[in-house]
Amino acid sequence: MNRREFNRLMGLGAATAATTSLFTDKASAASSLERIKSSGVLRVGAIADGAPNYQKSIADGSWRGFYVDLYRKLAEDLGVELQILETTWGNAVLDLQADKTDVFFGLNRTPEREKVIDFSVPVFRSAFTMTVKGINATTWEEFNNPNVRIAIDAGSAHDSLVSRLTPNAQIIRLKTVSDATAAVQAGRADAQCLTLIIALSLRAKNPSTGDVVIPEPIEFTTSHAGFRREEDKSWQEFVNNWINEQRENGFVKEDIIRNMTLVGIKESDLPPNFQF
Amino acid sequence: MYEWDFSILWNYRWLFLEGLGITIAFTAATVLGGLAVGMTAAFCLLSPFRILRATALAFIEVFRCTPVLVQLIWCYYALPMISGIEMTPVTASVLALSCYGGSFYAEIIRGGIVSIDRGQSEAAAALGMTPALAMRRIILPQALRRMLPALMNQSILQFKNTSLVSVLAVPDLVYQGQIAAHDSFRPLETYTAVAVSYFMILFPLTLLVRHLERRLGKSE
Amino acid sequence: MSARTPKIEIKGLRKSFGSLEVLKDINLHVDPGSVVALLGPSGSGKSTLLRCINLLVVPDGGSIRVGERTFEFRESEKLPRARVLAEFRSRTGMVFQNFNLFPHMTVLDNVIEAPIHVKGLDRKTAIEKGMEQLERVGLADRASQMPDTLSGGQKQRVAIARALAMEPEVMLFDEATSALDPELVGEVLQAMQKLAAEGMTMVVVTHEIAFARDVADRVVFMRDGYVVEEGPAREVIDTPKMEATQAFLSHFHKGAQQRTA
Repeated sequence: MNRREFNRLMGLGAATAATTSLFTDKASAASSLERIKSSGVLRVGAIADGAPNYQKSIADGSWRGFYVDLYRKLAEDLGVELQILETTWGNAVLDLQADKTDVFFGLNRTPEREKVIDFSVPVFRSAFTMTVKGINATTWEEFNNPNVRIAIDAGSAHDSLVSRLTPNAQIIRLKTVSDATAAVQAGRADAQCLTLIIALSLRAKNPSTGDVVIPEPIEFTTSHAGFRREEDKSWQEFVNNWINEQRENGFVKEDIIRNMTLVGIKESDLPPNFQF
Repeated sequence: MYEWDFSILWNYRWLFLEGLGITIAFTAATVLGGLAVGMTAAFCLLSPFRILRATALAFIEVFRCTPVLVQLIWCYYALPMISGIEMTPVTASVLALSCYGGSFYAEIIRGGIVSIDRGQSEAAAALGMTPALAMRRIILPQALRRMLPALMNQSILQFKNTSLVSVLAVPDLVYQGQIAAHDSFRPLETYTAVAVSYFMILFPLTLLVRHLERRLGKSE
Repeated sequence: MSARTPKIEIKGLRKSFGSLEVLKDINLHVDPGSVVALLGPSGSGKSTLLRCINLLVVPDGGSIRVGERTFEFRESEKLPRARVLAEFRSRTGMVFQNFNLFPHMTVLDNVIEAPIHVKGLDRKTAIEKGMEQLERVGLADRASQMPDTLSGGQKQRVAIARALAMEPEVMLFDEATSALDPELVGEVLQAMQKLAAEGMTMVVVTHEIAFARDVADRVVFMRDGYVVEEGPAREVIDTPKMEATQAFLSHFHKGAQQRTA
């Protein structure tokens, strides 16, 4: 089950959660920051098969990944114990709403989610890339060409981006990311639009798929932390300040590069115009 | 042409075994829990008190007519918010699946009980047994024998329904299969292995049910 | 007739099922050690009356006394508690038309079930006493068999032994031979006759007029929920006074003549 299908399935669950959010609003009178400090426990969500963001070791059940390292640092800086709840991409937002976790890293900011939870400042940005095979293009303008066939998963962020930037290209809308990848592999498309880390993981797995380019001007998607909506914003403010600090002191960048190895990406694999 | 490679599965053998153990433990827990729920609901359905009958009926219909997936999510996320009782994914899953299974068991058990000849409870009453004792000693043993195939069929469904607990990240066989699929980039092989595991457990059980049905069919 | 206190005393008994009045002001007494036969066409209320005696059917009005225990019934009153009912029924034995043996237990287990779980007898004593009862109906050698391996007559004799094992004060027979093949009726009637001879107080709903005439002390003839005629068995059967009784018995006498012819 891929993430999008899963999310759709979870719509049912979200409807339940929406009706019950009435209850949480009343229940969460005390600020999360106070609760974390008084209990000495930071509760976070993680996904077992979300490498390089999250990964639970098959051998010993230990957690690794880019966001796991961020969680560890956050707990350390707060001086509290870290408690990781195993969850799924589909349930992460519900976990926050249901007061099962205090923060969850790795969410895209979408209008639907903004209705029910709060978001942090961006943790990092991920560039939109094109995995190209047999064509040469380095700018969005060059991709915006009737001779170029671009494969994407329908209805995704990739879809809205190429619809906006390359309306003249032939856009092939397929059901899943893998279907779009298969289209490029089979020569039925010239390029697939993906975010950087996914594109790099794909190339690491199967180099013959194509080359990864970051078309100019660089377009980004941002990854955020999510919070339960609270009246008292002290927890969000704390995490926002903390994230900004980690970006400035280089921890986030180190962390990204270090964890890329989980999906077989070396620092030298990054395109020259890489930013985060 | 896809090149199958089942040898990679060997790397995940512990993961699969762990998942299988959890699936079996879940089935056992939710079959027992479901029988307890179903028995209670069935007795309520047979009760002379209208309020008990109505409550049991409402309970059964709610759980029979909504998807288990939603029930799982509801038990884990919504119930704690309303009741204030915090639950682990495992507790919530056992609760939801027991109630879901129980709503089906209830109908089977009720049907089994009313299928027993009225003369049996009359004879028991005439011997001085209270209704409760007659139920326990005379009616239920006969009814259970009659319900056994239907109960086992429902339990087989229950076994398969446990696969839905993966939605709450409970590491059952399907969840572990998903992890292995993601890790190995070999979803076809891993899901095939998951299916084979389910089949190897359920197929002998369905044979047993069919055998029981024939044997009980003969003796009646 | 004995001048002793009756074992069973029924006064002003009434029972309706919905709008159908099945028993209308029934008065009846049964002396200790006597046998009363309830006769009458089907639908006359005789089975309902029998079932009222051990409260399998709870009457709407009147009173019932069996031994020292009296129950009064009024429409507004609640039913007696389950425990009280059960305790009362444990002292009356009942034999049903369809035997109603417990099919999931052996013959012996059928017999010792209630002594153990109702009376609280230990298993060893229960088995001893149970075997005595099976002996009494001539089925001790069938103790370990399952009920479905027995003939109808044997089943009914086990049912009699099962009821006797509770050492009841009275025995109620509800058309005990009606479901039997004709050739099996004799063995059951014989067992009942033996029981009567041993001094058991019995109320018997039956269609076996000859049996009623020979074994019963008194006959109660019912029709449409009333006791139409009542008296010494031979007197009522041989020289019925009421028209309804005459009509009912002539039908039987004719049938008997045809059978023997």
